[in-house]
Amino acid sequence: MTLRQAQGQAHPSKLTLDRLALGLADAETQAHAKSCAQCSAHLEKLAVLTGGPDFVHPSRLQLDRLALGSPDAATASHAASCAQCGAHLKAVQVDLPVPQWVRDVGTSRPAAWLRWLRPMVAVGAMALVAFAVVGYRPASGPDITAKGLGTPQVQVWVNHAGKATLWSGAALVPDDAFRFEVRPGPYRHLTILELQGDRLYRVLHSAPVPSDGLSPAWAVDADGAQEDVMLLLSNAPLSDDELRRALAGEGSLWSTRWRFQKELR
Amino acid sequence: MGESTVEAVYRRFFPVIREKCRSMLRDSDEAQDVAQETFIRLWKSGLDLEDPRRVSAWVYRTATHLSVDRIRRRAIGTEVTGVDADVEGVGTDARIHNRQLLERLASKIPQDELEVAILDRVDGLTQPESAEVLGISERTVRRMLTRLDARLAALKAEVHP
Repeated sequence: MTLRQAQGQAHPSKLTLDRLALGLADAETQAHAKSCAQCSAHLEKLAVLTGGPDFVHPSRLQLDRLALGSPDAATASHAASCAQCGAHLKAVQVDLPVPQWVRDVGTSRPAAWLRWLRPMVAVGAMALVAFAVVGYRPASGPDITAKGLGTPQVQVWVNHAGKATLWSGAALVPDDAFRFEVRPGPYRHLTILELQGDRLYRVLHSAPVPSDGLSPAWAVDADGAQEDVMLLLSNAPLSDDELRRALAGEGSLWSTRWRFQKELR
Repeated sequence: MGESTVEAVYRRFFPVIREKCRSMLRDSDEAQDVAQETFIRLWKSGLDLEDPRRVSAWVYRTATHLSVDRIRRRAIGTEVTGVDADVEGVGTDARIHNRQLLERLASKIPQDELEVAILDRVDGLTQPESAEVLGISERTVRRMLTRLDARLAALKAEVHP
């Protein structure tokens, strides 16, 4: 890159240059600064002021990860000798009394990733079945609706008595488990809601769409005649307002609703 | 494997969530509300809570999104009266200043740009970290920050012609 070309481009922000001066490497900025008189002068000035990158604090995210148990010797060593970072670590490791609202949240949480489908998917079960596009209605008549722009695809896997198959639309029985497999199209975030009588009962899941597209799995219980689930795709976690609007059928979020009838023994 | 009762999960994760929310919202009641909402979502998310990297990224993303949503709702209809400095710097004072400035300008900045701005300029995350938290590429983070700087410069020129 010549000096003339570099100067013709937009300069990095002062913050980006400051970070570079503090040792937070950024190849693009480094390359620009090397060939730009103005930016390299700024960097030289900073080097005199700071004396180098030794005092750079870890980010809050690094400190929080350390506090949550992620091993990071460099951050731990820095925090041990830095009052500011040590104070942050102390603040996020306090032993808080548990308030009543926490107990009211409920004692059971959705099952974490069930492992039973992974091997099956891995060995190519996907190749054996056509991908069921939302809107497809099997002969037995599952209740599926979809709304929104784009062409995401969703299908449901059901584990019945230890055997996982694509949902045929048949009624589920208690102890069956189901999970969604999502091809999100342009979207990145998956939210799954459990509904009762058209109202939100609880948020089952809210997380970025994983690379394999598989949601957690949920076991069917013996309560009620159906499981009513709404799946929403977006580019970020949804606010309460966005959830409310989606439930009211408003807004442009991509959503699909699945009603699994239950056959109680 | 840690304890997985709701109380144990609260003790482990809530202080991190609370501090994150406090850094974004000056109103402590509002910060507590958002922290509570974030925790409830975490509990119901089905995430593997034994993976601190994944959980912390999830917490940062969700808490930031919920906070920005609040900030923007509050800012609707508010007139922009002062753009007195650039959104820059790395120290504690700079972060507080950045948060106040971003709050004032929230109605003029799109939600996704504001989320990147908070992670980068208030939380002090590196660009790779912001990209990881938001599930977007570093290039997109850079592009959004460049757009933010241009937007702030234009607002500054508008308010102080």
